[in-house]
Amino acid sequence: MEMMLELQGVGKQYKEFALQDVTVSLPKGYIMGYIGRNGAGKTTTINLINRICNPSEGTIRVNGITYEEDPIRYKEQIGFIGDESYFPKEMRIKDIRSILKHSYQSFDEKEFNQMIKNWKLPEKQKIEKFSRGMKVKLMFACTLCRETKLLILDEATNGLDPVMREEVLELLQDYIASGERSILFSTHMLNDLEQIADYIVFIEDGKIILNDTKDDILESYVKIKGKKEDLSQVLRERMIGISTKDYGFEGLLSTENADLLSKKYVIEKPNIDQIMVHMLREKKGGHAYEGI
Amino acid sequence: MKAFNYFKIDCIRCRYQLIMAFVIVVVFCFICNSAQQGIGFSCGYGFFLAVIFAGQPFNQEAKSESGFINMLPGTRRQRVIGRFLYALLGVVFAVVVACAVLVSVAIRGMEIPESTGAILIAMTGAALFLVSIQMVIMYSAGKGKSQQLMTIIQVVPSLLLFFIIMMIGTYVEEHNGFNYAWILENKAWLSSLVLAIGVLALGMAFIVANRIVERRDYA
Repeated sequence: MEMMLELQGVGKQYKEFALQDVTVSLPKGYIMGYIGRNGAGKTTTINLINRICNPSEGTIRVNGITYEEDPIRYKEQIGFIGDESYFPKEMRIKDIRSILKHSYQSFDEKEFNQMIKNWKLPEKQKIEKFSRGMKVKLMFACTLCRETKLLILDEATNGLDPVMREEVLELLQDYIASGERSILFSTHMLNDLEQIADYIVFIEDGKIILNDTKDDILESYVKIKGKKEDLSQVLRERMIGISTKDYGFEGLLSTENADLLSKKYVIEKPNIDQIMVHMLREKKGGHAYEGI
Repeated sequence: MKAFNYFKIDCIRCRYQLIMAFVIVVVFCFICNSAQQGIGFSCGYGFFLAVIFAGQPFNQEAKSESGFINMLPGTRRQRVIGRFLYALLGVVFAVVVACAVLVSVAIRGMEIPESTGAILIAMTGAALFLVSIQMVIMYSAGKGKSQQLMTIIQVVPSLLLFFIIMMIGTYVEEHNGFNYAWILENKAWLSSLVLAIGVLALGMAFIVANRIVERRDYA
């Protein structure tokens, strides 16, 4: 499989945080969900890929090339949509159009204008006065009106209304339809990811703790609930992120340990959200964490 | 060409300040000149404003813009060149206005002092030198600082200029034997020397700025 994005042993040292040995590969034509709690290292990773920040170690390749080999081609291949508007607040759409036109050879002005018209974005208003949804639409217009290979979204769907979010998810699926482009999608909205992601990478405290295809992850675990008295010592040891309450217990179990299952327990298929919560709980010694 | 694009971004970002500076410099220079303040005095303020406005884009930009500006296809060096082009725009503009003032003086049939050319060249050199300091300070401060802090930093080189002039004035007053005649005799190479120092400082500031941008995140 040809890779669109390859991170090999990427690290970044800060005073109070370190991203360590991030090794991830995203094949062409696929969507990767990049998830983790606030401050886990998602945006840092994205900033390193975008070369807004310099990695302390490791190699990053986009469509086979590193930033050092060809910084211009490297950046031309990336489309980025951030969690907040990155446009200079003094600018208007005509300014953005003019900058894009002179920056990107592949910029399609007609398409850009069409998107602006379809999304009813005000041409004459300063961008700082745009609503959150309008700013996201403008970021999409800027990215989709030129030829990119890798689309990176950093919490881009946060704060969007359900209609717009649905529209964005459709756009993303259209984007990879040719099989030649890929998406790295960092989000808190795990429901969105379940709809469209092919791969899931889970980061916690600057380290990757899960990296697999979404289907494999979903098939690798079952969620078990049961009465307290039915919880054997062996099962307790094998369960992931177990939580015990007065009425019983619940936790995840790897399907490799299916031999421990019995009719005494309620067995459910977990979603990505639940898998992540239990994994975090396990990592933090049984305490529940919110805000993945 | 890519560097020119970054220059254009700075111009768009600071267009209102540019227009304001243009109007102020033109009006001020011509009013001072009409009031017989001397060409050097009139044009000196043009250079003073040029130094202040050289740092304006730093004052306007935010860290969050890195996702747009830093993602445009271009090298970091091109980004720095663009910023330096903007910084030079004010100096070039001050020179143009100074030349326009000279033309207007000539048209009115007034006498242009012999040392005017040397003074303007020296002023250009001094302005380039101060712009260089400005750029190094601004790049060292980095993005995301408060606007108040950036505004203070922005006027530091111009204030330096005033302090230096005051110090020279005091020195001249205290040393009665100061040889003006020698300066006037050697004005051509002295002004060229100031200009050369300015150009050299600008080159060094460019190298320093590049190193800062290469190493710093969000730069």
